[in-house]
Amino acid sequence: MARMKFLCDAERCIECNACVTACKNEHEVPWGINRRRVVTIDDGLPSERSISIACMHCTDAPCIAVCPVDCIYQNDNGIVLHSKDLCIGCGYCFYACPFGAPQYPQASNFGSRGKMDKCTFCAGGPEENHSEAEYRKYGRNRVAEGKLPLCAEVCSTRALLAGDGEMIGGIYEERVIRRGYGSGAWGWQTAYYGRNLGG
Amino acid sequence: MKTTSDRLSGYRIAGAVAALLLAILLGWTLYESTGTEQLVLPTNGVLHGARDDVPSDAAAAEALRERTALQAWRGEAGPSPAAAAEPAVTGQAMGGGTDETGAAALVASWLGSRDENWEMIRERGFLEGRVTQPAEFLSVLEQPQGRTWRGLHNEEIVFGGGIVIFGFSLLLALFLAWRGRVPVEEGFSGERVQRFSGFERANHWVTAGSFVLIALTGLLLLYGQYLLKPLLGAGIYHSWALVGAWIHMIFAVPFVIGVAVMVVMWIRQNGPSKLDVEWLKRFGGFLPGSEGHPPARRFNTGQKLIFWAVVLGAIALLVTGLSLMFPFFWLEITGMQLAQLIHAGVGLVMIAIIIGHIYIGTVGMEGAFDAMWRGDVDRNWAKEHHSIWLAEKQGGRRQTH
Repeated sequence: MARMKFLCDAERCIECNACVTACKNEHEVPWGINRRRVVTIDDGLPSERSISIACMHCTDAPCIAVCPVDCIYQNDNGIVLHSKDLCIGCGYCFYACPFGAPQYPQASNFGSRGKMDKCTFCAGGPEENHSEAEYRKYGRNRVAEGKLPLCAEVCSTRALLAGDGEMIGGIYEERVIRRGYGSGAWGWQTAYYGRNLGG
Repeated sequence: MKTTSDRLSGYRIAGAVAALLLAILLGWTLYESTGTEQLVLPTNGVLHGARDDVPSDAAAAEALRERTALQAWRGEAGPSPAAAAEPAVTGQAMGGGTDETGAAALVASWLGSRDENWEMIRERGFLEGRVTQPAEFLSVLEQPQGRTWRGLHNEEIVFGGGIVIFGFSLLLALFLAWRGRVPVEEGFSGERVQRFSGFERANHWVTAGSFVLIALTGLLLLYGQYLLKPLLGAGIYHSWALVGAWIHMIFAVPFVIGVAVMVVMWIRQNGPSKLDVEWLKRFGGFLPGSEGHPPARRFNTGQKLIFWAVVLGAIALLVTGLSLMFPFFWLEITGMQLAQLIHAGVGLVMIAIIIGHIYIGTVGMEGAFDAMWRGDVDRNWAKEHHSIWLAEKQGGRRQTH
């Protein structure tokens, strides 16, 4: 069993936005939706860091807990997926999500947001694998092909790591030891270690 | 008087039965609210749906682990390691297909890896930066308060609403069981006095009807997933929720217009006065043993309180509701979270208050319903509840429209 996670090494991210572009292209993400984005903290200061962020596929995921129609779910690998057939676009998952991952196409007037869209860890959704319906709603299912999310695989500086949490944690730790510095795994405490742990 | 007391006992029994049922519901809500919220467990598929994302495939997991290893530190430049062969293409979704106990153990193991990773984990905190996307709300990198909002929504709001609604209804039922229906003490005179014009009544019922629809759809969105979805199934419940959300938004328009018209029509008659102090001291004369009813103009203090609760509640619901309909138009993430909590909280309290209003206007008081339905009331009812208004109306000194 593997617990899938993302980790962005802020010392390596050069804000090239290749992950963002690759994601949009791979999944034919609709205009205006950003499943992944790069946030720059302290822009222009010596402490400037860029962090590529998308759905972190949290443990005890708050989006799943607040969804009024239970359209979001997690699988045994920790990947958080959702059904666009059930979503009503209420926006609760966005308020609950610590990372601003859920996106809405704003399909119509009147504040109705349309069906939520978010990073799937390149694992499709609750449709038959590699089906046309799955691709149209959720994008490519790379995980079913034994591949990792494209954003991480395309990262030229290997800043963005994806895959089994223990392994990418180990890779990151080894890096930090070898080079002697690191600002830590951004968001991991909020994403993977829950409400009550390590406040 | 004999017939009246017989009728009263029927209401009192109904009140006692209702009180018993409501006490059970309240107790159940309180019992449910004591536990801590459960961890979210992996279900490998939409809840109550098929576990259709499951096929257990150890080979797929191994392929992903192999692939993960490709990202490892490479001390020296050079060609890719030989091990980096083509990954095993499985065509299978990932997942272990565990049952609920297995899922709980799985989540525990995920949480348990915290200590191994502790050294490399950053402190959590609210972090905002800059993004290239033209959407300002995306610039928030991390907002751990999302988890707090989740707790407030799933516990304080969900259970608080049950406690407020069942609790307040229980008080009303107990009052009915204890006191029975508030009678017209002198009996009906048979003489009618015009109380509300056709326009006032039409406006009241438009507002009331809209409120009922909004309240029911609001409750559907808040509680449907627990109470209705298991009965209806995920697909049908989704349609209900979607239609409900639209009804909730559309009927806000007549509701707000109705309340606005009420403000224009009735605000001058709902100002505070000295009579209100007297009325409150005597609790409106509703308690047994109180000597008659305190004097009141067109609206007594109880009605004034309903008026102001509705007006202030509607303003709060309108402002927060519009904020939710146009997300991030003028609020940021914290504001959006607060708007949702205030909207839900105020809405639930409003529902409890309106239940009280409906109670006193129908079952709770003899002769009261006619005022808003037929538009006229019995003279003796008016004399008891609105003595000054009746005197002025009959004296013809001043026409209180």
